[in-house]
Amino acid sequence: MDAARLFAEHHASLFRYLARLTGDADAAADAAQEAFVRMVERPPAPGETRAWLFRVGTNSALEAARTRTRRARLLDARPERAPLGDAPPAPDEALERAERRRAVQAALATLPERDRRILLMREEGFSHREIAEAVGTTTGSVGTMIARALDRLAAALPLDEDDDDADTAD
Amino acid sequence: MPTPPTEGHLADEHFVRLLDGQLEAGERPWVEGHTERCEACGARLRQLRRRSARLSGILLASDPAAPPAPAHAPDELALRRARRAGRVPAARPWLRAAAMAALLLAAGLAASPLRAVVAEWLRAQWERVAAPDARPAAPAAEAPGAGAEAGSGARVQFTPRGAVFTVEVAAPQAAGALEVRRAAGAAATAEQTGGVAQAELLVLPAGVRIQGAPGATADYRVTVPASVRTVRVRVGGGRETTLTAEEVEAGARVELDG
Repeated sequence: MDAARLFAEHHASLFRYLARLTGDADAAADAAQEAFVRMVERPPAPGETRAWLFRVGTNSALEAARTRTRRARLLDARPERAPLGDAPPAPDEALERAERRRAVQAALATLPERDRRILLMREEGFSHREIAEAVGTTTGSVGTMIARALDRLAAALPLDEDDDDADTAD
Repeated sequence: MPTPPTEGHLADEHFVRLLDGQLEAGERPWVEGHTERCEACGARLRQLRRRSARLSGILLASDPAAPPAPAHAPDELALRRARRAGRVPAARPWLRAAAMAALLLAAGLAASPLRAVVAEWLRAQWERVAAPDARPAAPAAEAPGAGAEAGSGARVQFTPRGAVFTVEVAAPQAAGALEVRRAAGAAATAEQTGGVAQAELLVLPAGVRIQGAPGATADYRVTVPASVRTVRVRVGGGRETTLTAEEVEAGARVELDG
């Protein structure tokens, strides 16, 4: 197993997926790295590496998110234990991007976790069969779930706005 | 706004599977034919295609910057973790030195052919002792001007969605070109065919993003399946070139310099 090659091939996609799933780039980076370390420790079967990485990365990221939520509740109860210090000011472009990210995360949060995973795995080019295996449903139902999720997201994001780049070549 | 199809119409799963290239070989003609004849189904297909493309664009526009490369490779981290957990013995320099001394002694004193047998046994012991400290070979450094092999870049292969394929070249280059051709099968491919510094190829639902260094010199080749009728090439978020199906069939070339 060539870990360096697999890292180069899959890391960017895995990080992007996890960042979109969790809304937390740092957590996504940690979870992605954890997935690759586990891949070295216990290599998956050949041909299943990508799906395996995404499954392990997702579990790691979601578990970390649950831990952060528990800690946030504790800090809410004990505000004197909250870390001090202001974050450095971000450049305008970064602020705009962060604002867009918040809006996207708020919209994605209106979907059940399974639907979020389905949409985001689709964005990474997974087949319907792979998506079905990852979230525990049938291949035939993935298309319907994607359409329903898009319908739901259209209420929170401008998915129906006129766009000059919209595909007209039917 | 079009409503989802009801009786006598196709189901949403057909539209999404069409968009994602997931239809069976025999399904595609009748699904496409129906959406061309049925106004409601055609509208629903266009709606889902537009929403899919818009979502992709919105996600891309809000993605965080990619994290810096980790300080240690995954196998290095795995090795350290295994050591901390006690699953791998720590390095024992004294044992390695003893093994090397024994190897040299065997090579010097053992009579042939016994010498060869002993030397081989000692070599095996040496490798076993030295294994915990084995480091993965670092990736070979790029050597500009040292005759780096052309076409040694990354390659991706995937099934694109929709009839419009977008190639996003993140930054204008100093020189180099993108070749766009028709693929033989249902998959699209993208690969770097020239240049020294390796670009990152990111698969998008309906295209590919070429993440190379600004001012680099590199060539790329993209092949697209017959389902793709239009290829849009965007360089550095500005200049855009649209290629028709005929141009793709003939083999198109787009210069990537700014």
